[in-house]
Amino acid sequence: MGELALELKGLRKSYGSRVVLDGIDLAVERGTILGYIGPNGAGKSTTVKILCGLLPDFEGDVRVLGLDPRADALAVKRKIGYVPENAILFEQLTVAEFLLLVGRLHALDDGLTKRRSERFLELFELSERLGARIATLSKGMRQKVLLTSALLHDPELVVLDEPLSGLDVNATILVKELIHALAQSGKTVFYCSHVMDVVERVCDRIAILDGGKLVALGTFEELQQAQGGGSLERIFAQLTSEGGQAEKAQALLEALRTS
Amino acid sequence: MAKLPADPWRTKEEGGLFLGLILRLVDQLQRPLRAFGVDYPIFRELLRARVVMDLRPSGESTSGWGVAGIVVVLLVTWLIGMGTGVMALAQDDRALWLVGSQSALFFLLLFYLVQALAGMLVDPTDVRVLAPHPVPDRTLFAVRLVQVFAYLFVLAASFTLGNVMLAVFRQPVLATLFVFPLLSLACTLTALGGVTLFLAVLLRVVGPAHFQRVSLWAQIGSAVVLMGGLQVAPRLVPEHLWQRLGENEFLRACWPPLQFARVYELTTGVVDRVHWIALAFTVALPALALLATLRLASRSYIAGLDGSLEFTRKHPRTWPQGLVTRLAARLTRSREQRAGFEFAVALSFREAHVLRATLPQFVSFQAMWIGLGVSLQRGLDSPSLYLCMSSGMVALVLPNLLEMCQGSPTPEARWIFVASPLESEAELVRGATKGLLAVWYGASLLSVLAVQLCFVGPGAILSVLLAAELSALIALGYARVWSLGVPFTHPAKKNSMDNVGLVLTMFLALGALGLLHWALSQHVLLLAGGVLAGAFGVRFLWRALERMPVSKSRRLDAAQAQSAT
Repeated sequence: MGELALELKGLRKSYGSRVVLDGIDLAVERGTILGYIGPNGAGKSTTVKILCGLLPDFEGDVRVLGLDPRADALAVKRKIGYVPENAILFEQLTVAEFLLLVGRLHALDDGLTKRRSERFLELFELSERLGARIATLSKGMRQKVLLTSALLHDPELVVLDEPLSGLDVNATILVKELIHALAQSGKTVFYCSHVMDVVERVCDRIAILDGGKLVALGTFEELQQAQGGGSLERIFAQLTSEGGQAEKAQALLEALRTS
Repeated sequence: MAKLPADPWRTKEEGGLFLGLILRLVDQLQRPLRAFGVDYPIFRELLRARVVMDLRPSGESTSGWGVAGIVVVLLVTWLIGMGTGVMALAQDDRALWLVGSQSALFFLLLFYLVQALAGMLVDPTDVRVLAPHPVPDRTLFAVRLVQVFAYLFVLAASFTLGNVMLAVFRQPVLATLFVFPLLSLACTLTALGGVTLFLAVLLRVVGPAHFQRVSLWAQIGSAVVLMGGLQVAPRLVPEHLWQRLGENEFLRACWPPLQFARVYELTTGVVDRVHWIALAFTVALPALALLATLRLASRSYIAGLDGSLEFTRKHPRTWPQGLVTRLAARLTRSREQRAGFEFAVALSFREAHVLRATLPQFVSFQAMWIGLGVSLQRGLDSPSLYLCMSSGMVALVLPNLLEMCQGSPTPEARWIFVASPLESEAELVRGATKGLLAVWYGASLLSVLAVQLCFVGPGAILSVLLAAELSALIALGYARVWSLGVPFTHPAKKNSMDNVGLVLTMFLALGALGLLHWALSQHVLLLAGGVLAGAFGVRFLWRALERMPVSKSRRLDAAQAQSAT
């Protein structure tokens, strides 16, 4: 195994008596793309928050690019780019003001921030909105601003939590290609999503989380071998649900008719 | 000649006087800030962004008072300053003027801090944007400190101006013009340092996971101590002890805000003997408090802000069946009203910005009047003032409650209403207003009634009822003045200082109704008639809520259009 970008040993996190992560062991090599998937409430976002140094109180040993996010959260944040699930931005600022702010928080030269931002926004077809207030942007446009801000400082590790949310088709294709390109240039991508076919096609390895535990880890082919073939969607349902989604859909319709 | 397009990379406010002045001021403090462990470039950048955002208001206010409300706050503060300045003219005892003025300022600043501004220090909104970026905890805390200090400074300056304008005619001119403002500044820093140090210690003691929850209760507790404790404490401590404390040279030189009077006297040469150690402590106290605060806030501040207000308890698996549900069924006239009632009440109990802005006010006003009830219990011929003020003050919190309930950290959730086949948006607003009035105001008024009965006895039940009715008349009478939309569908505000003007007129109305109460209390028949008329008035105004309109600027389609591309 090559140099590790992420290393989680016995990671455990609970809120009161509710255990959210229950002993996660995971290692991710540099320059690879890991798909981190699981049903709602499985603990994906909590893992992401811990990796990004946003949650300091957890049990176990975590190394992000060789750093301990508990003890050295700032150093971790300098090296990672994070796109959270919900695009929360400063509504009152313009796109340009927000990106300049982010650049300065990462100690980037203003000229560099402007050049990189302009290029990103051009590729995202958002150049014309540079001077627009963020409050006036649509969901997809905000997502593009968020992606730009996460990549602005050229991070070594990119953590993406549902990055395609709200994006149009062209932007979705662009982001998928971007993820590949990032990995090829030696960056590590930690990719959380519910869009299974994208995870299946984009990620080098896939980790499936359920009830705070890792229930499967491997390449797509390895998961297929272990679970008897099929798409990632089928494997996922097999591992994390009691199955019978078609029957459940029928039962939902039945409930509408009878009640 | 065609106008060149503006440079999008240039902030409009950059060349402005206000932002420029603030940035130049903090640039002067660069060295000490760095010495305190603040990352200066990040501090400056965050402060710049914060000021720019504050200069761009997010839109509507409840009553159209807008900026005028803030001007009213400053005017009221200036008048209080003048009121205490009169002591400088009327009294020969300079110490009384100084202690009175600085105590009033200290109390005023603590009041604003506990009731409204402390919420800024623990506001989680921008943390969700900043958390993924390398912002040191201490630096973010320092930005918040400066922001809150700016508000306090303006208030203190307004107070000091009012005071000095009068005092200068009787007191030593130079000391009044130059030393008194400096003492006000020290007083401001001490108040700020005390509150922030308390919060920083709390963060260290309870940890980030519980910080939001515990700090809310601490805020409520502090408000109760501030408003109620001041009434009760003088009675709990024997008089001779107060006297001995006042004569103790060490305490006089270091007890806030008595110490500032001592410093003033020293500069004017009135006293030549002073406890130098205590005096050194006085001068260093604000800086020490702020230094300790910054030291303590060096870790987990951001994680603490991101914590939850909710208790981690098991959630019931049943549908709600409690008192609120029963009240909603009884007090509403349509399904949409009922929906508005139940959802507004449920969210008002959980939204952090609502709880932080209103709960301390509801609880502390009651504590104040319980305290005052203890003080007034003896030797009071007519309880009209006490009864009317204690009942009426509850109504004065309503503008703040209704305004805060208009906002939400996730206003996009308005799509639920936009996408619903609503027959009448106004019905939702009416139901929600009824809910907030019945649950928040109604429950508070009932608890006030219980306390009043304890102090004045069941024999004065008619007086108590009349006072409650007069309070309800104010609450309901103003319901048409508020410009409301469907609650929790607009961007959240941190506080609603712009409602102060409205609250002030309510306070004046309260005074007039207090006089009416006193007049009606002169004879039992008048009193009984007043209670009866009051009951009819309350019923009439409650029914008038059925005609309450939706504010044009706060209609769902207006909000939707504002946020659309």
